[in-house]
Amino acid sequence: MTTHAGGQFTRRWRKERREWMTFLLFILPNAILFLVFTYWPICYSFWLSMTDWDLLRPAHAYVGFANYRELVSDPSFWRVLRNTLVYAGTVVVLAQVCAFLLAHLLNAPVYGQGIFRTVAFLPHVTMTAAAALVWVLLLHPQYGPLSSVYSMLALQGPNWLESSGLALAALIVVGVWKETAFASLFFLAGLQGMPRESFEAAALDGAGLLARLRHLTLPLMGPTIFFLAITGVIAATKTFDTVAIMTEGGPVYPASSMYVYHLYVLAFREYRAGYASAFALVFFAITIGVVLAQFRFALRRVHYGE
Amino acid sequence: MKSHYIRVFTGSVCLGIAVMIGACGEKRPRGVTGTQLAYWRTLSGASGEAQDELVQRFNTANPSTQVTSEYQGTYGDLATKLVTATAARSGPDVTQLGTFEIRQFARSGALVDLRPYLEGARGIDRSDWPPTMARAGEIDGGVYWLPFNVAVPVLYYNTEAFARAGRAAPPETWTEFFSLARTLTVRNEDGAVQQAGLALWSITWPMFSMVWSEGGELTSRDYSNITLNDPVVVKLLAELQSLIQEGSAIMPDKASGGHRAAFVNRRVAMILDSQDAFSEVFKLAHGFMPGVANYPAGVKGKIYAPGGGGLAMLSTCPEDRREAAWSFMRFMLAPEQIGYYAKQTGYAAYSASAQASAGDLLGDPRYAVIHSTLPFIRADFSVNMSPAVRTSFDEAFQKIMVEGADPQTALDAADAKAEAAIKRELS
Repeated sequence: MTTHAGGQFTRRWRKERREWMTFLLFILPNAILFLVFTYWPICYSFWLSMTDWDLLRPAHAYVGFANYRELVSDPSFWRVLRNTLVYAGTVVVLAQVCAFLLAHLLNAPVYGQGIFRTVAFLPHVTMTAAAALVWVLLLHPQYGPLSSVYSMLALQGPNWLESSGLALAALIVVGVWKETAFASLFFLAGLQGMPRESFEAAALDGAGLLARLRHLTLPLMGPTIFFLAITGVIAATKTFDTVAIMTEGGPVYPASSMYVYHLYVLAFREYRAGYASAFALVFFAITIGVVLAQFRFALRRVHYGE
Repeated sequence: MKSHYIRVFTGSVCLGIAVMIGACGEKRPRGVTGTQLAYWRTLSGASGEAQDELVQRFNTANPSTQVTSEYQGTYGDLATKLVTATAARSGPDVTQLGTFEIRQFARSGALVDLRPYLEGARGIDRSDWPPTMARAGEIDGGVYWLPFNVAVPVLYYNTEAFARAGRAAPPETWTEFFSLARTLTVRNEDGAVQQAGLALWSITWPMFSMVWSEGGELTSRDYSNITLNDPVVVKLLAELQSLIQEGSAIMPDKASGGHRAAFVNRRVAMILDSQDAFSEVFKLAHGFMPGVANYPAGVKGKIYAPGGGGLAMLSTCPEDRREAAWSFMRFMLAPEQIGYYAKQTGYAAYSASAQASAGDLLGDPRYAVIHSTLPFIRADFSVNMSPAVRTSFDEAFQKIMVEGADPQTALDAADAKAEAAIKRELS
């Protein structure tokens, strides 16, 4: 009996080991890639943040937490952090509102619906750098189409990219324009997946448009809104190309600079790779914090399934 | 079954290694022998095409050494790419480099000391180079950079706007300059500005000449005394700020073309620039004839800031290619090539032999004006070469002109920031 039970145990153990080996073999390539291209750079970046490396010298001088201490008292850090959070918050909220409305329009059964949907999604598939160049032309104070509109209305239009106050707003406009296209696709899919019967029943019970929106549409769209909020915040905080092309963080640096662009300036223009690494790690922590806060917020407010 | 998984795993690993080795291999076109050199350059338009032509001439004359010229964007873009290439221990053999980066690159060991080559059997005769140019790339006893496309300050002006304002000649002094900026401003019946007198460059390089010629200083050459808040600097920037606030001057953003686009499109009547804009201005000037002039003189006379780019050899250039790389540099810096480049682009043929080789270069009055600045170039690259000083000054300048900040307060802050940053830069 004991031998039989022992044999069974051994067979089960061998079977589990085979399954584990199969599992490891299948995830090993991805795990290696993750270790080499994600985990290792993060660890190395942590080490670099404790040095004063300038990307040019072969040796790195250890400075401990000096970079982090300097970061806390660096006014540029707080300015670019503020710009980034303002940009991310505004773009995500405005884009989702615009996308939600746009999705309703795109969901309407009209002739040429396919063309409208294609045009609406074009901003998302347009290369950001190319879009930024076009927006620079659009916003040109003398020769841009917007300036013609101002002239027709006999208004003195704002000088978007030459004003410290408006440069960030210009970037937000471009961000909303791009993010709306992406988000509208998900909202459209969400609208099309909604159960018609619930809406018909609500309408029969006398629920008006706003009541249906508040008690049916938004709760059912909760998961979509939550997903777009997470991805939107992450994408917005990584913005680099629009800043680099439209304003270079100016007109008076860092008026419209954002975190990732400032990272680039620190590392490649000021030759402070060590300090830039500290910057990057702090930002990594802040982003994780923001995403965790979003998850926590959503825990009770987002409902999956009916 | 187990042996199957082992075969699959081993095969995958081998395939991955083979792919990585293949990707890391250096590509060499078939049939190409001899030494291959990579030359990274900046500047586009006529200034870039002329460099490519010179590279082509070198390749034709030296079949055993072939150089590939690769455009890398602006000076800043090029520097960024050099930094990453140096960190990866792979990069070009010879590169064009602006003055902003020389010291940082040289002190970090990224550039090869050219003195042994300069003073060797196949050196370069610098006896007719202006002292400024001869000493430009000297850092800590070594020579790491040799001037190629030397920039000098140039005032571009709209000759027709000047004629309409009753002016035949450009301003001779800075006082006249400020007054003229107001005189040249054209407003419509509503008081809106149709054409401003002046467009400012968003960088402070033109200010160096203005400050020095008016008796001010920005920094000592060893950076022991940084004086961005020198009273002369405060006074001059306050004067420029007044022009902006009155509408007589503008500072257009870079993305929409900057001060040069404003000039060629007749939004302004004059700009303080360098001859780097020469080809662009004369090619694109829309509906008017531009003129070139020296920057005005100050109380100390004419004192002009040097600028532009030069050539450097990177330490990533293997030892066995350095002689070939030096041959290429020697070719590019020869009087014939400097003269040719000056004629094609407007950059200065900074030596007498280069001017002579360019034939009737100075017969063109525009080139004559540009070259007349050479005797007044101050042999001082100290502001150019320090990111700490230059960046602090640029930021303060932009705050004053764009945001209307108080010049004294902004320059005091810039001075403090530069002094803090220079300690790190020099360590």
